[in-house]
Amino acid sequence: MNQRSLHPFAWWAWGIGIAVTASQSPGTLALILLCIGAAMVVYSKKSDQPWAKAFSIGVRLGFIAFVIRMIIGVTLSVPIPGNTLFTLPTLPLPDWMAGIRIGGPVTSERLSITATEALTFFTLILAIAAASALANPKQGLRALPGVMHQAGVALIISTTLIPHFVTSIQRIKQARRLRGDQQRIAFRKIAVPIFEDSLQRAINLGAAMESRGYGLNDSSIGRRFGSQILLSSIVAITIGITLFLAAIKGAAIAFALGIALLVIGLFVASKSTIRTRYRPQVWKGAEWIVLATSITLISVVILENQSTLTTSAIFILAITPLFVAPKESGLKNVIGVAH
Amino acid sequence: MSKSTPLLGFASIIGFFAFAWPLFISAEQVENNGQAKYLFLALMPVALLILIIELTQGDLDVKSLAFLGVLTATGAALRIFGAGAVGIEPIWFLIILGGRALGKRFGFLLGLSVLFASALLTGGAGPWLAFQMMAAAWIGWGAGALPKFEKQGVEIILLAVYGFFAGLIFGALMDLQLWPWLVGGDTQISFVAGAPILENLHRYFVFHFLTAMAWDIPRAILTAAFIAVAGKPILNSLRRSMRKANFVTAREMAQKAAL
Amino acid sequence: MGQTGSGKSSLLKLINGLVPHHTGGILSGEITVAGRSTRMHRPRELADLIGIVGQNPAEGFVTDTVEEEIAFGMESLGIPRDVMRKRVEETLDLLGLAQLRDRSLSTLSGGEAQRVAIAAVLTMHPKVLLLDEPTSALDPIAAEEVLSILARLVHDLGLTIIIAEHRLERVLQFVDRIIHVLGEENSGQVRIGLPQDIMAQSQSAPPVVLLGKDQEWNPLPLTVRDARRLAEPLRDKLANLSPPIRKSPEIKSLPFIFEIKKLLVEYEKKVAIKGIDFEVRQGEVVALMGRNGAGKSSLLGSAVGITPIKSGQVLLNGKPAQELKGKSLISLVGFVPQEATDLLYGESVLQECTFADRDSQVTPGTTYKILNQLLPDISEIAHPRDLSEGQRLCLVLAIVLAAAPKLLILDEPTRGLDYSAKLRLINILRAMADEGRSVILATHDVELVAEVATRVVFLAEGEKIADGSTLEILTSSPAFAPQISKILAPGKWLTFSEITSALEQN
Repeated sequence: MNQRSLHPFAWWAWGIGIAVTASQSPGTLALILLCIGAAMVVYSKKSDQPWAKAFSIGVRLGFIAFVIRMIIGVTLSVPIPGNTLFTLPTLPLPDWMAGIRIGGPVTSERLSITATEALTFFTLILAIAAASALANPKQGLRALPGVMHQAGVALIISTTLIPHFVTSIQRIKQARRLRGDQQRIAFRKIAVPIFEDSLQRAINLGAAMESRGYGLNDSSIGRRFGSQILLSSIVAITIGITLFLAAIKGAAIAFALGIALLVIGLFVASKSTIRTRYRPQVWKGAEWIVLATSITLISVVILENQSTLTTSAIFILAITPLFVAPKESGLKNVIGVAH
Repeated sequence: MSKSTPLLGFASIIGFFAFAWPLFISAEQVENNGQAKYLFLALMPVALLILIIELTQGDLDVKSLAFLGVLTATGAALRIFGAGAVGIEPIWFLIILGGRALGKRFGFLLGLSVLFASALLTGGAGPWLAFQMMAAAWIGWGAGALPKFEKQGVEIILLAVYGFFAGLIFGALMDLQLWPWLVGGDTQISFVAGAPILENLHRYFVFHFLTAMAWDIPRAILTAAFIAVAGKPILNSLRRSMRKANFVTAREMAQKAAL
Repeated sequence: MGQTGSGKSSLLKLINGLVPHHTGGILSGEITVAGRSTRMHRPRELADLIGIVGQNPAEGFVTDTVEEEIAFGMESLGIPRDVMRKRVEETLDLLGLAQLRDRSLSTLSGGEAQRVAIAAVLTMHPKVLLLDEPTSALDPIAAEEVLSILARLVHDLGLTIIIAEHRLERVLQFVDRIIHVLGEENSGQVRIGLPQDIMAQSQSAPPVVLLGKDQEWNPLPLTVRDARRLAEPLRDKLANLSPPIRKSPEIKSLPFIFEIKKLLVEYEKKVAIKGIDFEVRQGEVVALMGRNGAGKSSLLGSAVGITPIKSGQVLLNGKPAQELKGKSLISLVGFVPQEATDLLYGESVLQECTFADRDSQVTPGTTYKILNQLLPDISEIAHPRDLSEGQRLCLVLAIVLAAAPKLLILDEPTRGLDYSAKLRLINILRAMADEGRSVILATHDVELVAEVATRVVFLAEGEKIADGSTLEILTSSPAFAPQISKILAPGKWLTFSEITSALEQN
């Protein structure tokens, strides 16, 4: 690849780090700083690629979620004592929505609690959106461990084909005009040719992949063993869930066991594929630093909550990628559609 | 095929709890640890990860992979095409028909990948993506699991009805997932930990009604309509191409190998 | 070689093992490639031995960029990373793709995509390379490039190459042996032999061979060069004769059916058409030629209101094309797009015809009757997508002709058509011109243009760079001259039939 960009997994580590930090109630100021920090990194490091708009979409969605949460929290709250700031007109709802009362006095406690929760959710959405905007999904798919390679290929195929189908749909819409068709909406006449086209492609694609040696030599023994381990991992997690829901001790152990089995299962399964990787995305110093800051971020907030020191530390850790990540450039590819 | 079924089953159980935990969680748990919603938010992707690894490692042959990739692209492209009008999500019709023609397992994977690919494309990846994927996967699986009918007309009606309910159920599931997030724990329509399931369900439905009827009913109707209008020719195309590509299911392949 | 539908693709796929492993069917007999039997081995196990490039190479792409695509096959085989790097570099150089290495696959031209597909297969160092119609979508120059690369691979690397091809005129010069897959009465049989022998016995042949057989030249010439050496006596005979007139002089006085004035078409980033003036009269058959991307499709699209027009006028029979819709549009102009299958959405041939009758508002059965004239033995219940290329084209033609349009527009109609299907098309077009209807053809197929067009227009970069009678234009360009004219230069002849009729008249 011509220009270096930060490994997508590093970006995701960063995003998840912010998300986890937000979930640990670090305080309103910290939340706001996290959001600002994420935005700063995104706007400075993003490229022109189509997925970069994920952040602005995330901001919009997050904002809507925030507003909805506030409205519900304020109008439908269970009354708690406190300083009443103002009172909304009460609106009793019909009987089948029994017992629900819209409106009533709004206390400052209610407001602040709701705002914090809403802000937390907003930050969470923003963190994920930031990671999606910065992490190159195509490189991410390529970087998947061997076990998930097939899933990655399916997705790479689909992301590459989508522009093709969008133009096909255009063409087919035009073709209707050529048949003298004056219907405004003709779902069937558009859907059928598109499907035929895609199925034909699928057959040819499958033949081409097969002829190029895809799917060769996956050892079945390793795979079966790996499957057993994964199955046990899932069972452990299921047990963990039941314990958790019933508030019986031991849930944490079950979960830990499940995760450990998952990692082992991944390891075993990856041994069974013989695929090699051409020019994989490198994981260098910058990636390590981002990963480290993410982990530090989480540890800081778990250990010491809600102090000025923590809050500033959080902010600085969150914006570390600003200084460390290489600038995403517009890649030389013209990502567009040619005939 | 039978090898992975237990895994699919358990993963779906995890998925079910990830959606519906507010109905089942006990009061003490919520007091001890208010982080339940984060836990389940994180569990769903883990379950999906395991599922994807298992399903794509195992019986996914080259042809299915090609079909998966191409149909996913078609679905995502249709979503873009329908993006102009609100509520038009042709992806459901594709997932259902694909699952019907190519089987439960394929339908499951198709659901996962169409949602994922279209999220990548439209930039709409949020913390709820894993949940959308699982719900779509169930819908795809269900389409393949419906009973077989000889007469095509009956099959299409069945699928259209299924599509209608699938549209509603998807909305209901996603609202269920969002319920604790958008509503918190202390409003009149929040879940009450430890309360009887029916009572919580009642509260949930008030929330659901308040926020989603505008989206769910159109989605349900449109999906059923798409299936009714274009279902027959597309199902035929799918089946014809399966014949052309000599789609041998894994079970048959194993039988042949054993011969 | 062989007619459409005779089984050329299947033959290729048999060698590679796709038949029967991928497509089903029952195989009896044995095919061994370098000692490995295709019955025992799946195609993927033969991938290091045999490489195949399908008809539409872009459909086989699995990754995002050129370089990754080339490396993909090797990844599947588990080849170590440094070996992969080396092979990728070699192959990029071999096929002249070094500058394209980071390009996104969707931005490649037809010729480039073809080369990338070949490269992707070459990296596995196969001994046999199979290509299904590699030049059908390419203009003559790109086709030359690809074919000479293939010839070089054979000579330098000792590769064995098997090509399925219709346009024999392009390939014959490179070929050591021919496998002729017979159709019709001898369906299913195969004749293998040296080019001269097969050509001597075969009905369908490029113009060089037809001329050679007619003039009883010995040895039978396969290339223009061979023919030129033998053509001296013919040239003398024809020196005082002139080819039959194509365009009757009355045409000059006939009204315009289609006019374009100062057309400007712009897409987001580029100008597709830069101020063109263009007219077509009734009874003309105009060929539109030029490189891929020169603006041909945009020009044709403007006739049916598909192309967004920035400025300028497009008139059909005096009325602006964009305002016409439905029956009034299709009774004036019939358009067969490049992807003819875009028009088809029925489940059977009969159903398509019924839809067409309805859309054109003509008596039910009209379309089917037209179709029967074009293809006497078409099956009504066949699914349109199961038909061969030639049959599908006839179906779409019938649909479009049902409304009896005055102007017929065809965008690249002869892709994938064999000589006999092309002949049928030529006859249809001639019949239309005789009736006073007009035809506009966008095509790369020089021989087709030579046969049927009265006028040729050349486009490049959105501008009209040549516009004149077929004879003038085709004989003045070395790259776009038909075989007959290359053989008989400096005499001005275009087709074999012209020569025959001129000789007969004397």
